[in-house]
Amino acid sequence: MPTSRELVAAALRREQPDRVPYCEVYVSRSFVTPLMGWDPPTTAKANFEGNEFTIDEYKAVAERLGLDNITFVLRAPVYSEIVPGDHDTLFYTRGLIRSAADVETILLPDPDDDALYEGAASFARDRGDYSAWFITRHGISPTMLSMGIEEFSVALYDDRRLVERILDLYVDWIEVVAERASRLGFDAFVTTDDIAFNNGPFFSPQIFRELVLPRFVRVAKRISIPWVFHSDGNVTPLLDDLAAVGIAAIHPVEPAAMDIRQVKRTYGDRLCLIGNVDMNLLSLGTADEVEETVRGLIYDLAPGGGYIVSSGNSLAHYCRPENVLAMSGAVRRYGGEQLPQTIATAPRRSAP
Amino acid sequence: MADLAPLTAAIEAGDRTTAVRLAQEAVAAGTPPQEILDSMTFAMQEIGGRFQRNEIWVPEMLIAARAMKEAMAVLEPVLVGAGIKPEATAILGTVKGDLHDIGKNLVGMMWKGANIEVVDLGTNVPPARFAEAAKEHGARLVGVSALLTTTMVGMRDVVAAIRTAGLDDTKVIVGGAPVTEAFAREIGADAYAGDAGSAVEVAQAALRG
Ligand code: B12
Repeated sequence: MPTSRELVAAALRREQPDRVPYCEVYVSRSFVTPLMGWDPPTTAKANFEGNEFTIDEYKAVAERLGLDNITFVLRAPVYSEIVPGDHDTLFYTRGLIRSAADVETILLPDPDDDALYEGAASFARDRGDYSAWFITRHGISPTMLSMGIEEFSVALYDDRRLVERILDLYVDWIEVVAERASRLGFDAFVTTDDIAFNNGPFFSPQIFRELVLPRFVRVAKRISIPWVFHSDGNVTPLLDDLAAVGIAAIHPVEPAAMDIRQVKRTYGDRLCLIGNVDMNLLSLGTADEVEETVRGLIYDLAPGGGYIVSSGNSLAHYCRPENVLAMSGAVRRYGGEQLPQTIATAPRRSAP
Repeated sequence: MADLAPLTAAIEAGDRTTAVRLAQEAVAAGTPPQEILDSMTFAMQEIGGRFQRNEIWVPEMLIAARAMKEAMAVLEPVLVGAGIKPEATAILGTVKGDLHDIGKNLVGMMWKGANIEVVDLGTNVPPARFAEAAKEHGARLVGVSALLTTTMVGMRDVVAAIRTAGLDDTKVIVGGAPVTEAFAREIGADAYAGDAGSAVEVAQAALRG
């Protein structure tokens, strides 16, 4: 049987692995603590930008949940006020970067300093058979959150130059980080920039093309491992552009926002799809409903390759453990050899 | 009498300087305040429709709402003088445990744009607070936002708090990414809207019926 790492690699290449993989971009420590029988956390965790597990803990979590990947987080700081939410969640409220003078206060860790990558390097080295994912941000969401999403939106019209200056600080940083991370032995480079909500992107496809796309191209040139693009919400209007940049996969294809079967039909020959298991279902539904949903996703999306099962966002503290276990159980039950090799829904280009 | 189409257009375009100037000119020309107001609410109605149809996005909506707000500030004293009041008062807030506020803020702007007075209680609002505020302000509408599955469930308590407070004429309208029409019905809310554009139509329908 191929390793988790090989299964994920094949799916990211849009090939059909021996079993459909199951991956998550974020697993909350609060969620796994009771499952693992760990003591409750004593301090609030910086869950947006940090690592919540040691590598040994993460591997134990992956084993327990049937995950095929483990993740390491390295992100530039966001300049926002942070208030604690419930269950150790932290929440960005007011952005702190409002003016050209504020921009001078942005200080990102030196991306050329070897010390910055020590944790990442040992994580990738010790990954075992798991697919090791490097989690960071491209720069557009730190820009939005550091300005405040509403202030950012208005500045697109009032002071585009200010937006570009902030964005370029982050993108300059991630260009170096992308190149370094690609060489550390990670299996995927994941950017988590939320640029959409249920109805569509926060800003127009035209602004995306003017402001963001050229800076995606800059980063793409530095990445030499598969790029997994995560954004909440409905990014359908941006998919042509994202595929053209060379993004390998999109996550989490939120079911309330996007029709994953439609996306598969249109983009299945260019993008691997990861996700779509509804957060409402994982937190309010029953294990049987979860199994049925995952079975349907596997049968409709996995034949021919290019589908990885994942939640429609993350394993948040409020997901039901039995539902998450039903999700990974369904992957084992339906995603293996019994899965047909031919595609029911997605026409594929024939091999040359 | 001033031609009000350019005022409507300036608000739609989010051009606040022009909107304020045209509002001042219209007031100075003695245009009936109700007509000026209508030309402005018409602009916001148009903006809501475009947002719903994905012809504009959050930034364009925000700058239109800002132009509306600033032009409204010019008009307000005149409206007061003419005895023209907001159509109704709405209490608005994000439920307890939830701090997401962008969607709620957009709904608030659109309601104001439709001449509904909005009392925004902010985020993380306990159910009792909605009821107290509704009583205090004689609100006919209570708008509740939730973006998390867990906090969405708390909307049920808001509906209960309004009902227990005996606010029989107060309509509860719910919304937010995980919320569905079916869920709204299940918890006994009076209405649901999926976006800030339809939130206006739904509010107006609730006020009528
Ligand atoms: C931006 C965002 C954030 C920002 C919020 C900034 C802020 N000041 O609000 C930040 C990064 C801080 C954040 C934090 C978190 N978030 Co968040 N976030 C989002 C995101 C990407 C967009 C939400 C948004 O602002 N949309 C823009 C507005 C315009 O849209 P909207 O809110 O949907 O509102 C529209 C309609 O819903 C409707 N509407 C909304 N309210 C109301 C009210 C009424 C009365 C009416 C009529 C209509 C209405 O009209 C609005 C305008 O059209 C969504 C993804 C998504 N699909 O929505 C996730 C999302 C809501 N977040 C999610 C999560 C899990 C979280 C966190 C728990 C993450 C964490 N691990 O800490 C925390 C929450 C902590 C807490 N206690 O609240 C999940 C929730 C999943 C679920 N079903 O439970 C989502 C859906 C992402 C996902 N992929 O699953 N988030």
